[in-house]
Amino acid sequence: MSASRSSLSAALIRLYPREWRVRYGDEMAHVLAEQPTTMRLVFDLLAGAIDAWMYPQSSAGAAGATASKGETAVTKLLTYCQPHEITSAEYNRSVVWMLGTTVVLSGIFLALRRALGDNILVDAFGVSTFPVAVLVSSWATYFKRYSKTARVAIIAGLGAIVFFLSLGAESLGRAF
Amino acid sequence: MTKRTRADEELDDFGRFAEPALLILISLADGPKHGYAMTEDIATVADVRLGPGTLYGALTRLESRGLIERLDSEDRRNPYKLTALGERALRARLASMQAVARIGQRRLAGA
Repeated sequence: MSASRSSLSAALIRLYPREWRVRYGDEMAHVLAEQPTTMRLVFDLLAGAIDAWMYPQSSAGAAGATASKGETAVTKLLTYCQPHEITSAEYNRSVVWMLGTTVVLSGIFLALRRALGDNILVDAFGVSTFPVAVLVSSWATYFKRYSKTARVAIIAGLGAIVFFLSLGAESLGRAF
Repeated sequence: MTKRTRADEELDDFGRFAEPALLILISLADGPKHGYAMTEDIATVADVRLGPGTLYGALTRLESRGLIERLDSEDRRNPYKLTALGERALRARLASMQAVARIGQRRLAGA
């Protein structure tokens, strides 16, 4: 293997989490050394690295018992943020909630629009309907680890941020 | 409808790694192999060349579920072997695929 190929392989392997590299890095370097470096291979490795970061428990494999030693802040954060044990029923319910909330909020938007006419607050509300519906639909999936009070606070807080960002965008749109 | 067994369900939830994982199990069915040997074997048997990212994504999942086991090696090319659980899962999945294929062929013959 040429020096440039070798360094490219090493750089691509470095994209994987440390505990993953400790366990599989040498093996993968050997597999890489046996085949030509193509764009397809580079994309395959990038996708593999993203997967290894997103699903560290599977990347750690049987070395899971020792994984905590090599755990970085980023892997801890990603492990914490990823949804655990979300059932198909919960996903299905979240889709129903998302569609339902979108319909209800859109109805409120249309009613406000009819009552108040051209109003920047109403338009910002209209832009916020879908992102807020996505937040609401995460109640029983991504946010399910939190208490009910915390979930209400998270959804209301993030919803307010979305609304004010929409309001800012509307203001800019009207100014220019 | 073909009835699925618990062993067959061991391969569920592999997402995009489902097919590579099955090919790896098939590759290991005739004895332990290291990563590159598996890649070559799968390319010969199934005409599919697994990239290293896909290969190791599937290997880590199979290993963490106890379907394959890594063997110690003096060099860096650690071979993997099928575990008893992996063998049961492979047998069950192949039987279920065979049953579905038989139904498909019977329907085509009757069409």
